[in-house]
Amino acid sequence: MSHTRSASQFLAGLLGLGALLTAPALRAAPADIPTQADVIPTFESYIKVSGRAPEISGDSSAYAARTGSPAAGSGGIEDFYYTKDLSDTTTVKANGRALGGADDYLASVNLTNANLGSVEAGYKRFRTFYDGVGGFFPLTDQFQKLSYEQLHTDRSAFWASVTLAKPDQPVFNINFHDEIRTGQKDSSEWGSIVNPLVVVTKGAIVGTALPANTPFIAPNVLTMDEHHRILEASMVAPAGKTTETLKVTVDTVNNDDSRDYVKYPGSTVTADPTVTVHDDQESRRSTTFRVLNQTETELGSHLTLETGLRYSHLSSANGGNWITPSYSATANAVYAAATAGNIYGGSKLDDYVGNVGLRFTPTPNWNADLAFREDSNVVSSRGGFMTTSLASTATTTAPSNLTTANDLTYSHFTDHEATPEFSLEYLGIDRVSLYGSIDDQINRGSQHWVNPYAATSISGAGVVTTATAPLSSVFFQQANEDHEDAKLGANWNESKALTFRAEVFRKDHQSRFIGANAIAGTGSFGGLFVNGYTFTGLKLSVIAKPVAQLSFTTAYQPQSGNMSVTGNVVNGGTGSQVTSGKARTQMIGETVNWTPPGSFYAQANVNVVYSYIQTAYPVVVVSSTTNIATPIQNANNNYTTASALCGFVISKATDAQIQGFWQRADNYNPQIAAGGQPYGSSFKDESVTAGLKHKFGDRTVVEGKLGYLHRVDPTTGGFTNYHGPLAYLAVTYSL
Amino acid sequence: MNSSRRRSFSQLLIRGRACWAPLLIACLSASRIAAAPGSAVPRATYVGSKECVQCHADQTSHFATATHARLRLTDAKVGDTGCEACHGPGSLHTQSGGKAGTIINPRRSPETCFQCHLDKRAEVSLPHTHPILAGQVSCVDCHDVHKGNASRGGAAIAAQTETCLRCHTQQAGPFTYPHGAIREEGCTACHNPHGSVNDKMLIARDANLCLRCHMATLTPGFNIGGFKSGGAHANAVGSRLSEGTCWSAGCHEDVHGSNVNASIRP
Repeated sequence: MSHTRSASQFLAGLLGLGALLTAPALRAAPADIPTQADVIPTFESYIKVSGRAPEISGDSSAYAARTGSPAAGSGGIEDFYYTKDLSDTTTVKANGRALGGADDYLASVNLTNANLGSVEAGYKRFRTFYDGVGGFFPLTDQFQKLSYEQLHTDRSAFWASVTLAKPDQPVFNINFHDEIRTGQKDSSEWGSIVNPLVVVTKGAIVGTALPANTPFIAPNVLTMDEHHRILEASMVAPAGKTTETLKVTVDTVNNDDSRDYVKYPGSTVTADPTVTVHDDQESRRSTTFRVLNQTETELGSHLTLETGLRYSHLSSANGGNWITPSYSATANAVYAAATAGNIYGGSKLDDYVGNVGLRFTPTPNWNADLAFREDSNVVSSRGGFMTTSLASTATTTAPSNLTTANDLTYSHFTDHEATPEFSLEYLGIDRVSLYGSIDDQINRGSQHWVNPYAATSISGAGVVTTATAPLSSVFFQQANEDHEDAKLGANWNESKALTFRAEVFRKDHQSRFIGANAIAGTGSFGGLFVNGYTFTGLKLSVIAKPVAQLSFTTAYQPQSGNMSVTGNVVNGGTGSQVTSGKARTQMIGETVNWTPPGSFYAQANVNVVYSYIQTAYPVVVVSSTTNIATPIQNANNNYTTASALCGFVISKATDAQIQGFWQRADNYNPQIAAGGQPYGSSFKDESVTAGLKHKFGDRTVVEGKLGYLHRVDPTTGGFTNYHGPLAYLAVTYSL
Repeated sequence: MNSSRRRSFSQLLIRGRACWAPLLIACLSASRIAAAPGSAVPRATYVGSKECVQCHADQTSHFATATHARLRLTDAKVGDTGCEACHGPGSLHTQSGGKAGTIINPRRSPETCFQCHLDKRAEVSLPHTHPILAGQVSCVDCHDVHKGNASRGGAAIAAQTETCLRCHTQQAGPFTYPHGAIREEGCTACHNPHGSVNDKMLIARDANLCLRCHMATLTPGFNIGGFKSGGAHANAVGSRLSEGTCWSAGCHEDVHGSNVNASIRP
């Protein structure tokens, strides 16, 4: 049990250690430290070298994912900043970071001349860690860990920028960004479960059985190789009372991602045996050309006009393979079926956006903004691919038994989106600001598909099966969308001691689709699908400062909403509107800041969130004869977070700081495992750190911290728990 | 467990006596100003926003249109302190000619934002979030704090979704079969970009995420989301719903859009 020592116990030890460390400082501190003594300096140019050394017991990859740093530790240059005035008008700035282990790097330099402009170039790279959890099934205590448990992705960017900015002249800028993301991360795609007691006949599951399900979780790893380059040239020029901005951008994307998953790992039944799948389904190359013109004109002391025009043209090419293994009863083997192999195709997009806005300030107490945005775009896409099927009577998966076919699908989308927006602000009441705004995004569009690969077709009253729509099938639907957002708020600075803020918001979004579909060989039918939601909420906060050094900030944010759908009558729906989802959230938070005069400060923060989404549960229940739990319950997202921070001045040259963090979520219900996958999130995180910062002379600051972290996660059966101490040491030297 | 908890608490108290005393004595014997993270630079005083305009016209010229302009913080002596509401008192900054370290820079630390946005402090500390606390992503990377709507969208030229797609290019499309949720509502239909208890910052980790929209009716018969008993998506054991999320491997896995399949599945 000693290894599960809690963070609070460790806090006591840290405080004791802190006392020992501060004792020499206390002895050395002169009795008559002058008031307004020097603070720990903030250097203008400096280099900070640091090292972080955790000693973690438990799952090291979970630690890395949660804390964003590797369990093996890291060290190097945490921060480097240098600035120097080369002349009265020229300044050079350099910024850097190089933390080995964490793979966190930055190098940038900027040269600015007040009369000419600036040149800047830089490189940045940082790592994000993932824990490679493939899933856990509580009934059998089965934990699925990805084969590559310690996953990470690296984001890097190189940029260069040249700006010509002579006084009273137009400002020209050219900049280039080359952004790369590489590495591997886990996926939320994992399932499914199959009851091992079911009868398997010719590869198909027949009937059901009582619990004791076995999880056949499909852990999934994404491998990314993504490149994004942006070349942009801009000009900002004043012309009379107008400021004009012109910007031209060329944006290229070159991504080649793939996905690996193990389907039915550990399977012991004949049907769907274990198989590893590699999909390189997500290669994408695109080039976007964009030109933007914006103007801002002073039409007098009370009126400002803003306009914008933007045109974008995108062309893209896609590739890859999309593979799904299937079990053949006659061949008694797994083969790649229903695939989309050798994918080719792409899209073309033309997008025209314009907006115009008027800002009217008739008196200092009134501000009114009236704006309008129009977006018209056309997207044409095509996808060609190869499908593979095995003859139903085949007894082997020999190539001669496999049949391939080529398919081609098209889509054509048009959207005409208009968004009026109006906001009003009134400041005529002393210490009060009243405001309100409303915008309404109205879209009229059409969506058109030809020969979709897999579409729904009617097969018997009230039953829909998935089938391949044959050649020449045409699907068409009109989109009629209306998304209205509104809010009303007030800020009241009653006094220096009391501030109130309140805002009420409402979102009413309705999307209506009317279809006219023709499936070759089946017939034509109409369709209707209406999807919408209405949300209302309140944001309320109070800042109270009973004395200047003490403040209480309280926030309360309730919101609720319902989602609704109206089904397709032809496809078996009732045609009446049904509430498909309910969402309720209550958040209450409190922050206390206490900075008494002199040598101490304290901050504390608590947030309690109660949130759930309800859809099928409890309406959908399993047949009572199976005695199986419902496969889905409400999605609960409840959690509580608390943190505290205290700082002390120990002596003229020494500061101390103690920090605590506690977070808990409890949304995991393993009982669901009897009927489905229990996905709810539950965990408890605790950490405490205590640190000292000491100034040596005028140019050196040394900072040390000791901490203890503790995390438990029942959703993985405890397989990703970790705990242990953490040490941190940093030296900052003024340059 | 209860006795264990009591023991740990008592240990804290007992050991705490030994360590709290020197700390308190130290605080009482030193009078240097202590500065909490994100708070004002010690000894700096308010100077008013007019001082800021001289060097930072790019940020101040449109601030009247910004969401944060509504805060209207004023000081009786210096008037409008709109800039200093977030950047802290600016006297040392102006006196030094704008030297680094003499004023709060929220781009380098989100502490300033958390002073009012309490809920965001909690969300970005959840297990699934952008690396904001690690300093790799800043609040201002996604929010315009000096001009216009801080959340973007509305009648602005750039749509709200463009904020996300600037970095997440693989999800940008266009697709032959786009997921309607992204077209109609954007990324936040399914993700909370500030943080979530769920993997990938999802609003829900299970099929509830999809069923909010893809559940036409429960009776009678099978419908868009599918719940008729005996149907492929029905609720019985062995049904699709019991097997995992809708986007599990082999099913509707290309959730952001597909180029080959209307049901965003193979």
